[in-house]
Amino acid sequence: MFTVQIRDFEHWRTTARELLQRDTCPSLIQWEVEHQQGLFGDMAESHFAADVVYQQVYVSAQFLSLIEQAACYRDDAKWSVFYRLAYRIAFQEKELLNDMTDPDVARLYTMCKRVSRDKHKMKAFVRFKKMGDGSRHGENHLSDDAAVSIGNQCVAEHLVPEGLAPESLAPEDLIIEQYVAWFEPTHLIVESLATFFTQRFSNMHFAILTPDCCMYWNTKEVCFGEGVQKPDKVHDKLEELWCEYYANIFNPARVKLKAM
Amino acid sequence: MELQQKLAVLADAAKYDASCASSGSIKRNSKNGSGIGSTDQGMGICHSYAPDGRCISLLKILLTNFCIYDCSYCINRASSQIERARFTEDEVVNLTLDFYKRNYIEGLFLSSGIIQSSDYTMEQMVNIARTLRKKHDFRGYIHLKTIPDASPELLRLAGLYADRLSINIELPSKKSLKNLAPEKNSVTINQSMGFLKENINESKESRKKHATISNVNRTQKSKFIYSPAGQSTQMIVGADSSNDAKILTLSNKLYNGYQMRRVYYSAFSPIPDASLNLPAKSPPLIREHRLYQADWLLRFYGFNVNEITPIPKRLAPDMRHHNDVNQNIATPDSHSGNGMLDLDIDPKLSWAIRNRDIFPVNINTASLERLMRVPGIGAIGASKIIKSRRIRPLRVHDISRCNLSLKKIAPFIEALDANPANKYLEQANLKQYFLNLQPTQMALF
Repeated sequence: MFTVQIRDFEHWRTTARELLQRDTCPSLIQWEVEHQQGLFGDMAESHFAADVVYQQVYVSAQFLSLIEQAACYRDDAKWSVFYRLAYRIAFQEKELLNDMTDPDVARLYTMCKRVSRDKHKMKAFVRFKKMGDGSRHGENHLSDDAAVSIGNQCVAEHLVPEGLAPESLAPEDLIIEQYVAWFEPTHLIVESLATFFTQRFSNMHFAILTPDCCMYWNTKEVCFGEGVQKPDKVHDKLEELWCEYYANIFNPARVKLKAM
Repeated sequence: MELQQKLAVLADAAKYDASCASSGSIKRNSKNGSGIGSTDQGMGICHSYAPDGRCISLLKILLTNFCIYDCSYCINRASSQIERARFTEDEVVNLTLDFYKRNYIEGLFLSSGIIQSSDYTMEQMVNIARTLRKKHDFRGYIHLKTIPDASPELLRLAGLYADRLSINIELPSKKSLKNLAPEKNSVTINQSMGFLKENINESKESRKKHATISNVNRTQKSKFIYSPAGQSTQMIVGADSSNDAKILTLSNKLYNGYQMRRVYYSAFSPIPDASLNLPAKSPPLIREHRLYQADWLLRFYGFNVNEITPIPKRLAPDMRHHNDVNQNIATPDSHSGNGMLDLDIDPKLSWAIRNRDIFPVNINTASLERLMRVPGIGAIGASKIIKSRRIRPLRVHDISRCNLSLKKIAPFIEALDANPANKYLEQANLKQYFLNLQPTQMALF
C-alpha cells in the first residue's frame, strides 16, 4: 500500500492515467488530498518509476464526464472510488456503468446526483444584494461596516473592470451597481457554476462569496479568490418589496402543512 | 397608491393562476447583449417555495385587477368588492429587472383584468414585454397570459417577445363557461389557440431550417422566433359538476389539437365575496393532484383516457337518475363507473389493480412500454432496469438497487428468483395492501 497525494481533478486524472498505465491495482493505493507541498512517499515514487505496461488506457467519455461532475462532491473518499471504477472499466468490465446494481456505480451516480442537486440549488437560492445605491469608481464604497465584515477588501477592486481610468469617463458612467451574494454550498461547486452566473448576469458587477471559494465578475472576466467568513447582513431595500410579493402570491386556502 | 401596496394587491390577484413554470424555452444568455438574463431548454428554476408547497419561479402579477368581465369564479370580476390597483408599464418593467438582478426570479408572468377593451389591455401587456426585450435587452423568461378576444395582430406581436403564451380554457364544458363566464366565448378561445398554434409551428419550422441550412444562406432570412416555450392553458376543477373523464378527454383534445405544452388544473378555491352559484368548500387539492398524475399518464406513459377513467357501464334508468342528482358529490370511493379518479391511490396503481390479470410482468424480458405500466416504475426506473439486465439477469432485490421502491413494485413483477409478494395479486383487497404502505400520507392534505 502506498499513498498518493493529489490537488484537484485534473491532477487526479493525470496521476490515475499513469497508475493505470502501470496496471496498478486499486487496493494498493491510498488517495489523499494534498494539504502541503509534500510529494509522493518513497513507495509511490518507486511505483511511478515502474515500467509502463499499457501505452493507451481507454475509458468512455461518459465516464469522464460523470467523474468530473462527481469530483465536486465534498468527500475525499471519492478519489479511490473513481480509480476503482476506472480500473474496472479499463481492464475488466467495459460496460460497468450500465450496471446500476453495482455498489461503486451506484455510489458514483449518487455523488453526481447530489452534486447536480446542489448546483441546481445554488442557481436557485443565491441572493444578490445591491451594495449602497451605486458607487463611484475609485471610491471604495465597500469600506462601510458591511464591507469590512466581508473581510475582503478586494471585492471592490474585482468588480470594477481593469483599465477603466476615472478621468476617461463622464461622471454618470462612473456609477456602477455592485451586487454581492453570500452562499454556503454543500459541495465544491462554485467554479463549475461560473459559466451559468456570468452568462446570466453578464452586464452586472457581482461577487458570490462562499466559505470555500469566491467568484468575482466585472462584466469582462471572472476570477476566483479564497473563501471568506460569513459577512454581516447587508440591507437592500428591494427585499421589502420581495417580501410583500411573497406574502401575497400564495393562496392560504391551498396551504399544506407538509410543505411548511 | 404606493408601489408596495400595488404589488400586494396585484400579486394577491394573480395567486389563482396555477402555472409558474419557466421551463422549455430556447437556450439563450446575455453574453453578447447589453442586459441580463438567460433561459434554458430544460427545466426551469424554482427560486422559492410558497407555504402551499408551490414553486415561485416568476414574478406573477396582474397589470391591473380592474375588469369589465363578470366571471363568477374570478375574484377580479366586475361585481366583486375587492380593492383595485393598476401598475404603470414602467413599474412592471422595473420590478422585473430589479427582482431578476437579485436572482429572486426567472422572469415575468404577466396577466391582466380587462380594461376598456381586449385590444387596449393586450396592447399594454405587449408594450411591457417589448420594453423589457428591446430597451433593456432582457433575456430572461416572459410568460404572457393572452386575452382571447385580442386582435390577431396583437397576438402575433405578443409571441415575438414572450417565451410562452397562454389562454385559459377556464372550464371543462361550454355550458359551464356560458353559465359562469358569460362574456367569454369558447369559439374565440379555440380560434385564438389555433392561431397561436400556427405561429408556434411556423417558428419551429423556421428554427429547424435555420439549424440545418448552411451559414451562407443563414444571413438571408432571419429566424422567426415565436413563443418558443409553446402555449399552455388552465382549467378550473371543482367549480362545476364535470367529472374527471370529461376533464381528461378535453385535456387530451387540447394536447392533440393545439399541441399544448401543459394543461394546468386549478382546484377551485373559494374566493372572498363569492358568487352564490359556486361551491363554498375548500379546494379539491387531492383531486387536482390525481388529475396531474393522470395527465402525465396520458402524455408520457401511453395511456388513453378510457383506461384511466373507465367508461361507465350503462346504468339502469332509476340508477341514472340517482347518478344525476349526485353529480356534484364525487366521493373518494365512487370512482368505479362515474368517471372519477380514485382519490386514495394514484391512477396508475388504480389501473393496475383493475387489470391485475396482466401481471406479474417479468423485469428481465418485458418491453420498456410494459415496464412503464408497472406502478412504481417510471421512465427513468424502466431504463435503469433495461440497462442493468443487459449485464446479468435481475433478481427481485435488484429493484431497490435501481433506487425504486420494492414494496410498491414487488406484487407486480417477476424476476430470476422467487417473488413471494406475487401472492398479493390474488387477494381481493389488493388496494388495502397499498393503503397500508402509506398510512399517514393522506391525512396531511
